[in-house]
Amino acid sequence: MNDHLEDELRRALRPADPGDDFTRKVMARVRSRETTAPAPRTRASHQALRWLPAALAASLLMAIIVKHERIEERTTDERAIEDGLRARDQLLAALQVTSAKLDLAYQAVQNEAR
Amino acid sequence: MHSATSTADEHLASARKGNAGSFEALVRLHQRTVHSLALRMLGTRDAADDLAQEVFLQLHLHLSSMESAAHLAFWLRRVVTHRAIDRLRSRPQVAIASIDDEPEIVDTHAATDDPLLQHRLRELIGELPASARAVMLLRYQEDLDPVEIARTLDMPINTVKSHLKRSLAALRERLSAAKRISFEEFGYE
Repeated sequence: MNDHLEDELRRALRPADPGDDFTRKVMARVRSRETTAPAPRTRASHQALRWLPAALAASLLMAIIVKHERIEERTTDERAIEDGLRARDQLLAALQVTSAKLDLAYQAVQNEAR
Repeated sequence: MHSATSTADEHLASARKGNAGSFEALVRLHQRTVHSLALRMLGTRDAADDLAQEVFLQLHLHLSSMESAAHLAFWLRRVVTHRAIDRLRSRPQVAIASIDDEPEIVDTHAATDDPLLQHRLRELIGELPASARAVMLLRYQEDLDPVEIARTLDMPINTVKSHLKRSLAALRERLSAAKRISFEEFGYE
């Protein structure tokens, strides 16, 4: 029973040709799109595009590395400046102590002279 | 002597280089499959024309990714059925015929060409849910086996087999019901 039904289904569902008119419409739309849109991608451009993500990733990595190196340079410079400022502060502090001690010594001498 | 497949491969190779005549040959080669699938899925000629044309336009854009004539045929069946299912799910379903249509006298035992039976079967196929309809069309219009149907529709093989089994049972039941009604109407015992 099933075989008969399946045979009938195959007969009922034989594909029908939509005709030359359909073909003409398809080709007209293809030509219309070709005149207004860029040409379909060729295999060569497809293969070139396959490398694009890898190229982009490599560029991004290089940019990160360069930026990191510049940050490192800036940090080194900043550290040098900080060291210099610290040294200056220490020098000034040392000079102030020396100056204060000289004042005390001078006053002591003055008092002795009186 | 060239086989049909080698001719199709030649047309594909030439179409990929931009030969419009070869692309037209590919359209002619596959338009009955694509248009019939679209028509039996969507139910109206306008919708089928629109979908089938769109599928060939997409083919023209993707020619460079077609590896062979067999791949191209697979791609066409896959795209037309997937798009038809999408359209059916996004719009109210258009049945090919109402289920209230007068039942016809049918004889499922005869293996001769029966236009009335064939018409009725096409109507009943058009009333199946979208996925089941696609499975039945790929099986009985395109003569694909369940594994090929599963690949085309991205469907588990057991689901394909279930659709086939249930759809055939439903068709058999509907045809038998029509036969019983016809016999009663004509007074046969």
